[in-house]
Amino acid sequence: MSEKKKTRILVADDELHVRTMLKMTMTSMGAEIAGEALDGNEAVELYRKARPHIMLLDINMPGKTGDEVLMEIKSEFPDAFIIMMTSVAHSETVQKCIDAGAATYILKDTPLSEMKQMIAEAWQNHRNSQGQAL
Amino acid sequence: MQEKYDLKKMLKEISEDEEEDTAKPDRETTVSQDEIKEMLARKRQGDKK
Repeated sequence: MSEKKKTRILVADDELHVRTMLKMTMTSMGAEIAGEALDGNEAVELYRKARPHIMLLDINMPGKTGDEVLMEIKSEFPDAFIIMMTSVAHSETVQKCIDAGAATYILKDTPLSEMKQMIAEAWQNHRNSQGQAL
Repeated sequence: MQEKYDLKKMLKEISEDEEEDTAKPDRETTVSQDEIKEMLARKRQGDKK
């Protein structure tokens, strides 16, 4: 992630300790935090306002669930880069989010090093594909 | 009478078993992170076609 122009991240999770962990993880990777949402409705609103490069999105949140937020944002911003970051491992939910355009889907019990690697790889793939499209 | 009692008891047990099964959250298939990676890879392959 570039030093000059930092990648801006929006974190959406109703649990404070998860938001804190994700913010620390992302800033350690050189990104900056564009905002944090505590529920699904706030997540959609903040996405519209902040237009982050990457959104880290939980599923079980008050208001709207993460999969609802994902579908709403993707319908409005098809190029939105959204990473599901959740404890929900139900195959149907995972498939639904992948089909709806989630960039990747990371379970919260994934080791931190693997989590970072998955985020970095997905972001790099996205940037490469955007570059090819231009 | 004894036979009726047994049938009632059996039905009650079946009903309880069904309730217990329905309440189990892991009735839905869960997947591991590695399986999710495979699902993502399949989606990417499908998108390329």
